[in-house]
Amino acid sequence: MSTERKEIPLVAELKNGDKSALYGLYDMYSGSLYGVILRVVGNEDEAKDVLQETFITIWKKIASYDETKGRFYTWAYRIAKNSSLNRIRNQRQFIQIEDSGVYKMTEEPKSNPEMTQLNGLLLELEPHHQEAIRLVYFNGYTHAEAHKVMNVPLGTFKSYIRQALKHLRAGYATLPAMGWLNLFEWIYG
Amino acid sequence: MLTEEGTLTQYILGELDGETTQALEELLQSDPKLKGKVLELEDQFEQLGLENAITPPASVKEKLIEVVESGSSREHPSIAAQSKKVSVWSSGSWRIAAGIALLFGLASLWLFTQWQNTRSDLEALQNESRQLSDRLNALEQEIAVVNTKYTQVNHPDVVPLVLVGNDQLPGSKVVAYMNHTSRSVVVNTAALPDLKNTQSYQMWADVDGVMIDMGLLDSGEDLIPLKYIDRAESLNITVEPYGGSEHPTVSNLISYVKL
Repeated sequence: MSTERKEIPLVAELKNGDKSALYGLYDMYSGSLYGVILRVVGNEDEAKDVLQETFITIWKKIASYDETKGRFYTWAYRIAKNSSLNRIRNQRQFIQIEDSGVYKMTEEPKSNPEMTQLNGLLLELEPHHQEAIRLVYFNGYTHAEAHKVMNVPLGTFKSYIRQALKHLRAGYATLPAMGWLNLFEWIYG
Repeated sequence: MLTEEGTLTQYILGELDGETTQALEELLQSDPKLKGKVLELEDQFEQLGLENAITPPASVKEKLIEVVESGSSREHPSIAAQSKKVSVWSSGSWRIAAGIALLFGLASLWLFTQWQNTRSDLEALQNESRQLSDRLNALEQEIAVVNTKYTQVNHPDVVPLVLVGNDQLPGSKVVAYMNHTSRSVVVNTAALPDLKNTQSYQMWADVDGVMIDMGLLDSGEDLIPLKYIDRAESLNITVEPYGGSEHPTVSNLISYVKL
């Protein structure tokens, strides 16, 4: 990955109350965040609402973002994920099968499956590695929930995540050295 | 372990509790190598997000701009809530809901009325049952009294004696039922005319020429129990001052019968 971070000046401007900086960050990150939100809430109307809510929160809470602690995207991702989970808090249901400790989802996402299918290097991973990343990153499950969904011990699940990230790291290392915006252009032409 | 990749991943995904997050962030401030590892993971997740981005509808940005520019971000209207409001009121489902509510209300009212009527009927039946029970008890007591009286006058040992009124009280009649075995006597005064309030009928037994008091006949009862006197030769009735006398007023003798 390139170390060029084009969001840094926008974040600084946003902290000074520049509304156009918010719209600039929206242009940069709304797609990534909407991809997560839509996969978590599973409903386009709800997802649009949560995306708007996420950027309103970013606008209002930007003063609390500490760039020394991590990337802006990570901070925004957490806001988006928490907003999405709050939205579906009463919708997601699990049934615990007696004595087995196994959980399964009873409600599948309602959004267009073609739209929410996974893309990129993730598709080159083994299916169980893909599934592990999908659950914790795109569906908002915690590790403690996700290993039950996959019906494997927590340690095994963590191993899946570790191996998946290792493969992705190796894959990303082979990509041309470029900024992530250029990478976006490279992926989507 | 805070430095494990799994823990760092959970930190980036926002899964760690506040205490662990704070401990890890303090560690990151003093450990550039660990910080570099976290940034690398963050970049990976950012890359994942980018590869799986979905372009949102333009209306979201338009709405965001509208809300931010109007300065009403604290109370911004929700897109989903707005669309839901339209769909609910335009779909007519509220009419169905209102209809169901009305039907439910009417059914409840009908059931309540039926319940009240049933309750009222039950109370009336309970009252009637109580009255019938009281009446039955009264009849049973009455029958018991009549049976007693019947036994008193119809026993094989009972001798009925009729005392017909003399010239002073013609047409009057008294029947005395004497039981010499049980040594009892009862008198039927139904055919005895009423006296003034200052007078009483009194019955006497004649024993060896001495009149012995048997009791008054003015109790108003059909069958009046009197004292049984041994060796009575006759029974006599006189009119005495109210409450009776110790000795009979012979001039007021109205009837007698010999035994």
